[in-house]
Amino acid sequence: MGGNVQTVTDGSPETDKLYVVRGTNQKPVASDALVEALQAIPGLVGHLYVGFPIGGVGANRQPIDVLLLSPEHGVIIFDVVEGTDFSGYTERQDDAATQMIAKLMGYKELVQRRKLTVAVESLTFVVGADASVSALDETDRVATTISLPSHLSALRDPISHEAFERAVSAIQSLNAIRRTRTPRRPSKSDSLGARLKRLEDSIATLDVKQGQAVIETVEGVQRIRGLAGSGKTIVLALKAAYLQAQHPDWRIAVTFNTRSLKGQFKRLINNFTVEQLGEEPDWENLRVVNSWGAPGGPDRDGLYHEFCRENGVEYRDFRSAKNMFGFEKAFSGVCGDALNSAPNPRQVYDVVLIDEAQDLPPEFLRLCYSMLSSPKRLVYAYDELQTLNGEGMQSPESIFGESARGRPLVTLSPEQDLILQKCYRNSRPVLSAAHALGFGIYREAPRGASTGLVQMFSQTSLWTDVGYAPVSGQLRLGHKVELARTEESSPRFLESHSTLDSLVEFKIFDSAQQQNSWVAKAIEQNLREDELRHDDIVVINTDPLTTRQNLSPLRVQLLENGIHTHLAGVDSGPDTFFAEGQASVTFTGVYRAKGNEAGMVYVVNAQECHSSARNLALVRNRLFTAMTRSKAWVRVLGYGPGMEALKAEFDKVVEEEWRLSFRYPTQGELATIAVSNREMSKEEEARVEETKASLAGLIDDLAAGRLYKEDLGPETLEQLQRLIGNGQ
Amino acid sequence: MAEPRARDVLSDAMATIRALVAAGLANDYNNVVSRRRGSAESVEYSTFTSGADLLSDVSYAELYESQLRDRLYAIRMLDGALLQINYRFISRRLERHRLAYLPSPLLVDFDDDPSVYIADELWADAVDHRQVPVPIRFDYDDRSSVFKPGVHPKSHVTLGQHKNCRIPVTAPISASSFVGFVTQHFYAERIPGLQLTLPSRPPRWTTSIDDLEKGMTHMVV
Repeated sequence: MGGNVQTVTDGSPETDKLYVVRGTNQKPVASDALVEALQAIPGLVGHLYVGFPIGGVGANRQPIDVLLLSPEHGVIIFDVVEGTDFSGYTERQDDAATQMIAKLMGYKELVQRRKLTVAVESLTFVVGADASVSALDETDRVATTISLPSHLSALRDPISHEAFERAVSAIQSLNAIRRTRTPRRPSKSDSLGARLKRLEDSIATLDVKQGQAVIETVEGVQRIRGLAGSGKTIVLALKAAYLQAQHPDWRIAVTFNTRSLKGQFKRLINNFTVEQLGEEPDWENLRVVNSWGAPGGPDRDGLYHEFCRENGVEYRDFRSAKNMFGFEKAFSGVCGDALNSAPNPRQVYDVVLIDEAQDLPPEFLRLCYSMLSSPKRLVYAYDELQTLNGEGMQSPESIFGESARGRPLVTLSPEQDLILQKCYRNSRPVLSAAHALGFGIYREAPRGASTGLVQMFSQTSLWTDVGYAPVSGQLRLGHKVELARTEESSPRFLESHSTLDSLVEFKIFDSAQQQNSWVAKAIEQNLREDELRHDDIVVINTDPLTTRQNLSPLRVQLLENGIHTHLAGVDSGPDTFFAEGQASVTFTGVYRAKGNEAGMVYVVNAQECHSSARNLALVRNRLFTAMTRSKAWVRVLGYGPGMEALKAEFDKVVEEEWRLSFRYPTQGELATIAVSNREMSKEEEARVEETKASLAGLIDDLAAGRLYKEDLGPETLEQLQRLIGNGQ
Repeated sequence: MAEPRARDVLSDAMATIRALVAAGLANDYNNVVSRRRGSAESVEYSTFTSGADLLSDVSYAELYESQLRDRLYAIRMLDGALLQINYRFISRRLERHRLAYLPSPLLVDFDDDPSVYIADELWADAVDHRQVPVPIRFDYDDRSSVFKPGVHPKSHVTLGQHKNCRIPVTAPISASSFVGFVTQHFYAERIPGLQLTLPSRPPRWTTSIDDLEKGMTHMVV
């Protein structure tokens, strides 16, 4: 048995050792013993799933206790016996194998001439050895800790790596889960459309880390960190579905910041549950809800709104929240308020899963925590680098605060702190370029500054956490270092479909008009010759304030060429970033693009990202977000001196072969960088402007002799000198 | 003056759509097309199906939702409002038209979602709680079976889906004039720097208003 076609695999799924993914099943003790026994077998490699929810179709669902997927054995289903009574094992073994075979037969890639290319066997495992077991012979397939190795050898039936990969994929049913849009049928083998198809087909399995994040249930808070594109949303969705499958009576909530995720979550959860369990999720107990919410029915509900309802606390909408706490602190203000008004909130949930936690205030996380019954199963996922501001997210100790006795409410053990290092969306060149520009790695130092960096991680370890490794130098403050993405963290198959220099392109134009004409022609070619679909293309403008006026002329040009476009705007419902069912190219501002991805991304008017009087970190973050929307190709376009400078930075990235080569700032420099480029709210900006103006007036008066420094009074003078004098 | 023909109305509608896209007012649109059925020629948004505009016994919110979902509009404005354009010509003469402005009933609810503001800052301060979204329809119907002087004028405007509201209008109206009317009164002041370049010479029809109606309060187009 075995596959015959050689395909390019990406090195996953992992087969260098025995990976264990521990979920929960009804037989924890015996399962643990089984896992231990299997781990002790030398040379046994593959994936071992404890409690993965696979069932037959409909009512005849039989949960699978433990499942081994190994290149040497194919699929082995373990019927685990807690205790000593293993009667009825033949029936259980047969049922389990039959169900699994039936399921796998549905995957054409696993079937050859009506037979599965992967062996499926059952084995009963009994911990307690006693006389009745030894009376059996090997064909009965009942193993104890002692006889397990020999039973396994008897079941040896090696399969090709390709068949193994396909089996993993089938079991995880990811293809089914991801299946949302109509399949591609490219006619040219090397068109952009064909390449996208190959790319999409390769990303068919959860890697072990992701699998662990989905299945491993932790009693308490769990944090999942990773880059954008590392699969966090899928992991959270599967986790929610998995938990409901294991605990149908649990109340589970899934929440997020960006509205457009609602549809994605519902779809992923629904597909997974239907695929694995043959029925729809119980949406009464598994709620996918907004974070804020509003009155007017379950569809508009949100966790904050629910909290207010459940605890009789006054609910505030954004408008009044803005008036009370200001634009920036609106949500954190109302959540904090609500928490203070309800010292003993009702604990209405068993699990809460939060996506995009970096965009939600700590007060909201605390609010969710308070709505959970013990043991406070809160799972929050966030993009380590979405904000690039060097701080990452607050530590759980500081988010959740302390108990009455002064001890932190939440501290994370290693199992509770998962990092998804692999980025499945952006290739190494795209991501490295985006990071280089986001951090300003190759930006020229402005006059008087010791470095051109716009922002930097204050903890050097964050770089390795997100998948970079030092190629030379030292990853230490004050030292020179050269960082590159590892093959592990940036699978090469993401970039191998096209030449490196065609993945990311920067182009300078003489004017907006020239830029727009170029983009219009490029899009036309994408649609008419490159076999790309309308929803493969996204055009992003990074400055929210100029989005409409910048994008409109280009849309008109396309309209005149018969190419339909739409602008993703405030009126877009949760699922309408891409105009589903319509052949329409998406135009968008950068924030609305968050959480979405496309094969071909055009970032226009990028000169708006080169520099800014203030908020430099903000504009660079926008560029980072825009570029990392791409699954394959990025075109960064603009005009003017700002664009030239930006392109110069990018050219350096290419020169350095996609490595980040820089001198890590010292502690002092880090502080300066953080301050001078920090993201400022509108209110802060206004205040700074005002103060600058009045200070300018003061300087003027002093210089012109209209005012004397003695007029300021000794105390004021002293304070001024202290604050300004030392250049702090 | 020769009365406008279907092709004049079609190019006027297309130019109007183009103008709305250029001004950044149209988030989405459907092409306006001309369709022949026997001696009748219609100029309508491409997704129109007969029966689509049957305003049966549903709430406005439900009506809006279903029109939105089925893409039954020529334009979807930046705040979710829908513009519908339908003209019907019999033997080259305009028999009927329906031009509708359907504002989003959800407009006032953007408040619960701050990401909306961050994503589209231009809009953040433009939402005004004091406003009430009002659907507006400019209808024309030439048929003698329908026309009743004073009661059911040939050309009339209906405000707020009131069945018997038929304010007389002097003549049929072009799509560009209709859109100009809507944008002037409902968008111009909300959007600073708005520049909408509608066709300079829209199709115009001879007056169709009845003398009786001229003596009532009526609208001049």
